[in-house]
Amino acid sequence: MGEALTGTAVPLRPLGVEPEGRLRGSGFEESQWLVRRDRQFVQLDELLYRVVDLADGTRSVDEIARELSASTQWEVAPEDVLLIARARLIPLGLIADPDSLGEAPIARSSPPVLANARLRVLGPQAIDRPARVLQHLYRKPVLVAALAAGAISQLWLFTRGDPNAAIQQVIVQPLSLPLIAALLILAGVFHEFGHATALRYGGGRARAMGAGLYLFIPVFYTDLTDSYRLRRGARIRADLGGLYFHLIAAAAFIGGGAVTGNEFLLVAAFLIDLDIARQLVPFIRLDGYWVLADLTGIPDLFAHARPRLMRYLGRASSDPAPAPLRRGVGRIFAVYIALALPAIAGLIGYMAWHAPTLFSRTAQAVSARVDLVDATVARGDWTSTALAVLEIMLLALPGAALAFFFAVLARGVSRVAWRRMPAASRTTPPEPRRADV
Amino acid sequence: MSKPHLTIAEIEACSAVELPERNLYAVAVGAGGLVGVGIAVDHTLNDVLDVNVENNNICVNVAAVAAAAGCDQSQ
Repeated sequence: MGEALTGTAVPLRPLGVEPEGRLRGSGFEESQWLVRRDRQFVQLDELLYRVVDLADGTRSVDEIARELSASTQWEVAPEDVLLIARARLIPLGLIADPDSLGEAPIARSSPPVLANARLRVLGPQAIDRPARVLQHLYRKPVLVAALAAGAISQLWLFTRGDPNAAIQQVIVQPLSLPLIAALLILAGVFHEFGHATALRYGGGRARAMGAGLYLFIPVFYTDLTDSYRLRRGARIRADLGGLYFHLIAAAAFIGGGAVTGNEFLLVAAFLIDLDIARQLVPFIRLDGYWVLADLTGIPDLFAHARPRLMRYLGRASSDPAPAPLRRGVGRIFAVYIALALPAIAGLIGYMAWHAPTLFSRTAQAVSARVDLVDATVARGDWTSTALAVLEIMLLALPGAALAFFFAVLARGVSRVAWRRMPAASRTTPPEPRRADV
Repeated sequence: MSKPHLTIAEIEACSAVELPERNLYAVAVGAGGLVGVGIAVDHTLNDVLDVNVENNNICVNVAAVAAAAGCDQSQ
């Protein structure tokens, strides 16, 4: 649009903005609607959604107002449509700004500030090929058989297996621990394909898979943003798909261990069980977080917590009031927030308390390995050199990740402090606000 | 019956939430850390303790252990 918005103007969605319909399985009192904006989704009330839907470049503001009056509970004037567009939809990048000369800039919320160190390894096509084959694992007979096999194998592991003997055998077998680690990494990748495959089975597509840092934790990740538009059952299946594939991997290891007598396979299966338990923690964005979000029908718990907390704390906010939740969902959400905030604060406090010890021991261990590298280089033992360098990298990883986490946290805190300073005392312009954890 | 007119307050009360990318994470630090521990333990076992497994018996090179512990082996 090259003209200012008036009653005769024709509002237009920018390229990449598409209405995606109703949020299914919603926990809100009133229906919520989804608009895809490039690679991101925006959740809207019905009135805002209707305007975006009608702004396809074929209707004037007057015509949109008439259609809204016919299809909603309100009598809508063209001035109302103009206000909705100017005050709400143009700032969100959902309607093109008529005052901008070129393509309307699409506003983007940044990725969660503490989870922005990611390296994409696989794109959608590379993920889709294996997912197409693996999706048969979600057919009901296969699913039931696999879950039964998983349950039986776990029962065997914890009743007939001898964990002490397994661990002792592992300790004295050269290379068994690196083998277990390699198996766990493979199982982690398989876990991610469990998510991607479940999403495909439900009608969506994973956009990326890779590795990165979440908080201070090195992680594998799969981008399942497409699942926002799916029905609730399909979303929960995608959330649980990783644990399902982990269970399959554990069953395979247990079966292999039982048949061959290789105890390290049983240890690997036991460690996968620990991973599964950890994944179910709902207080950070691991699998349990998304399962809880989809069970309650709140698309993202933290995104919806912030405006509620601000209002609860009496903080002035330019954000509109959050959409009200259904009564039961609201209670669950309140309990969740009451537990999550101290849990997250406790986790950060625990890491801060132990960080000096971790850094000190990491420095000692790395220093010892650097001496080892010197010695192996001097005698031309390149295999040992490579192993020692690998050790240095792995030993340094947790400390480096923790340092990165605290650096990002300090930056976030300084930004908040800066925003609260009196305007007169600011000397440099603020950086854009970023999303929280 | 005529419909109520939309008010400015109702427009301002409409909620809009930008949803973040939905990345599902699997913790890799356990596996990665275990690689380091595994290699370190193998180094320790092979280079320091000199452990061998023969016929299900664990043989430990006592001299190597003593040397690593700083013991005087002549006594």
